[in-house]
Amino acid sequence: MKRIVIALLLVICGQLACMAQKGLAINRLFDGRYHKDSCAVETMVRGAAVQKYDLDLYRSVTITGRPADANEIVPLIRSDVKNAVDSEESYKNGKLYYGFYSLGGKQTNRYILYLNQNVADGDKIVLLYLEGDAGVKQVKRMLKKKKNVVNVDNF
Amino acid sequence: MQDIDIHKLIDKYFDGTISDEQENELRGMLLSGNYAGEDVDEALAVMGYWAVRRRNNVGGRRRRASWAAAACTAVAIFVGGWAIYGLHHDSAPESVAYINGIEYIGDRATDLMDSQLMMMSVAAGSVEESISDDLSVFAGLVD
Repeated sequence: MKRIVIALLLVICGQLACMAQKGLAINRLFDGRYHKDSCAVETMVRGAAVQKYDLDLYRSVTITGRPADANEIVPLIRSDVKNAVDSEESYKNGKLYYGFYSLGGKQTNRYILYLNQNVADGDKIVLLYLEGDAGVKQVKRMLKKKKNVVNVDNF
Repeated sequence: MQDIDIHKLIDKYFDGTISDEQENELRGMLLSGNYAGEDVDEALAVMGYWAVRRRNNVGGRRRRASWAAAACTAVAIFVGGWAIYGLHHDSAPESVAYINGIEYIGDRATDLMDSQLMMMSVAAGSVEESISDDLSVFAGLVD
């Protein structure tokens, strides 16, 4: 009977671990701390708006005019992307400017995207977390499509 | 009805008036574990079947353990299913944005998503351009 109880507890713990947005360090940034922050915007999008990109979840935090926040965010990203299956980084002035990381996943693909405009010519830090069936190529294609939209708008 | 029969048979057994056939029948009834009572225990003790009956009860315990395992598995499946369902079907809105402490539901969040993706795409594009510039420098060197 003890074995059964232990097995049951293990199953429940496993399920709870799945629920807890998969144990990422950046998850602590989505704990609601930015909801009332006048320098920050937090978004979460699910459903049809992201399904067109083959994604299930889109989460983001944008922080404006507070470059020091990168000192907290970057180490969290670093800890999450240690085992990334695909990554792309760009540094400016010795600091991380842009990062694209695919974390892979057994059931669903997960991505972290980071942009720190403060090290270039802007004042925003943007952190994205994407989750869904979309592969790396699909996500990059989605970004390229957005870029084309920007170019058309500029034209 | 069966209860009455076994008590009659036990009485006959102790009176010494029981036939061989009835004794076999009584033995089977006693070992089935379906009967209880002082006279049943006494008959089992006298006939020396306590150990056998206890061994039979182990089977019952195993059956109970199987039921417990099945019940635990059912609970685990239910909890797992509930957890997975909850992940995909919780009551939170599909699109939500928090700006200056105000919650915006719907288009505002998707508009923000689009503008953030555009910022990312511009940055990704600049990375590609930078790689391309670097490669063109090397291309000039290779002749």
